[in-house]
Amino acid sequence: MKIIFLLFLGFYLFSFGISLESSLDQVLEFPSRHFIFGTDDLGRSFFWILVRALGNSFVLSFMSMIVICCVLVVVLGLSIFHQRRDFFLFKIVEVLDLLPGMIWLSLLMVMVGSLLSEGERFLFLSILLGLYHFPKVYRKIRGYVRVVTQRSFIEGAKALGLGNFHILYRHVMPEVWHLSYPIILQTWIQVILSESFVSFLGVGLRPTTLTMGSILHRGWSYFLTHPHLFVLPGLFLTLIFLMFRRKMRASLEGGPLKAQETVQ
Amino acid sequence: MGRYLVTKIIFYGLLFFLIVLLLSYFEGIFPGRYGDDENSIILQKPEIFKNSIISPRADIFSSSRIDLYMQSFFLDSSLTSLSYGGALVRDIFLEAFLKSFKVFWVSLLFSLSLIIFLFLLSSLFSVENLENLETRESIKKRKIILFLSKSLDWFVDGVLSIPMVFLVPLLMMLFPFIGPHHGMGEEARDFRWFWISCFVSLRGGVFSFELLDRLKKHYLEEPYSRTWIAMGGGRFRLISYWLRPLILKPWLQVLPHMLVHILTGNMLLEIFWQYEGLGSLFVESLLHRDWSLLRPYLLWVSFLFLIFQILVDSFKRGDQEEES
Repeated sequence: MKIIFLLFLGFYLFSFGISLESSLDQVLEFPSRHFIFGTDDLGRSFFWILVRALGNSFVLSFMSMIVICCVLVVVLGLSIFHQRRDFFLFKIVEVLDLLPGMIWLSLLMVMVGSLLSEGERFLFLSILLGLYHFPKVYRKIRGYVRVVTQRSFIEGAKALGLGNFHILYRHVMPEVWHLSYPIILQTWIQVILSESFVSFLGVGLRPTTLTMGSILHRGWSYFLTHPHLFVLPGLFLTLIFLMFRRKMRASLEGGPLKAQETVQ
Repeated sequence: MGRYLVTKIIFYGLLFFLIVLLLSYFEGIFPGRYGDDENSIILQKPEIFKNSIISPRADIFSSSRIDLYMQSFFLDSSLTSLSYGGALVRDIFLEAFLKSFKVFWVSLLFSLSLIIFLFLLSSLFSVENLENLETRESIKKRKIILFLSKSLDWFVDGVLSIPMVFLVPLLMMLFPFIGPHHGMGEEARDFRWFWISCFVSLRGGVFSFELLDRLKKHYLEEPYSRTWIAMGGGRFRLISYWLRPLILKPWLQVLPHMLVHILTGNMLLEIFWQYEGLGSLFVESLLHRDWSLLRPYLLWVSFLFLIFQILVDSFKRGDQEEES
């Protein structure tokens, strides 16, 4: 998996050196020796379009994961040893989780997104996706953190007068990390899926920004005459999700339940 | 329990009120397309809109504006206003809701059937059954069971990995008879609810099965289950009588969320099949900035989410009381 990821990263970085300008004499070509995945409706090599779109989707989901992690650290740091704060913050997160997220996300993207430039829109969507998936991650990780904070070495660290964030970073995180690994993988998949869903509906990013959702949306219009424009991105997306999922299943069956028992 | 529920209802009631205010804020700063478009019915027949609340460019922070807005919800005038296309919002909304409700019930039945079927399959092909197949004659049978067990795992992973954005058009391309325009006749179009229900229940059923199966495997490894089996107790009785409540509780807490998602319409599937349910209604009204349609939809969805959340909370509360 690491080799595939590094290979893809190389391709993605290389794709910025290739010009993806439209050439109208090569529009909608089927896969051939010159263009292994054919060309799109603007005459660009579909292989490089796919690489760029996949990379952009990964970047977007990575940014969302950063948003999730930042909010998680702040919320956990604030509430880790304060029962009242914990109760209050948990209620807020519960309310966030309660709201019909995808509907509000689409609404905000259409309303606020129309006032933003393309780059800002990209950032805004990643923040929204991060906030949308945050409550599910928080609920699970909070449970693990609460188990760990009852252990004696945490009491010791508290008695030494160490700060909340210090304890969280140095003592709690290493204990919780291996349990959170499948949750992070699952959320990563969900973020990419949500992005493709929103962009496919036409309420996410504009078609000019290359992401998996936008090229699937564009491919759908040609899928009766040029099915490769739709099937190839869909197949790539499925294979990636399957890979992530198998990895998640392996780590879930091997690790967390048994690891949780040892923690308890 | 009663006091707890009252507190919850007040809490969520306040939240509901906040959503209403937020909606009015959105509507105030992002006015719809009324008046911008020559095809708009407002420009053609302005007399119809004399008593309706539309194009709210007024200052929403003024108390009269909020009063007017609240009045519009509770005196039902928002439902009697007209949509962008000119039809009564009440009619469009009710029709869409009834269509989504039909999909909801059928999906529920299909999902339950699928869960039971997958459970039976997983019990038949479980690795535990291999204990009785150690003899040389049954090596072939053992291999077949292992193969089927792995196939079931791959099926579950495949269904949950493949994005609907890709799966549905692909299947429509491979099997044209499931498409929305197959035959182009009214009879053929009537089956759209069936196909939507199939896909909704496929994803929901497999997701539920995975959750239940994982819980079942987890509880079967517990010491009391092992002791029961070692004492000669049947596995079926163990699962159906002792482990059933433990396995079902977490699922019952997830179930209302899944149900409300089906009840509020599936945006993607309804767009693919051009089905006039709540999901496609939302996307279309959002793309047209049709506030008079979005308003009842969002309120209805938020209301349903609140009700179902109270249900989930009461389940959890019941659990906690039982444990204590």
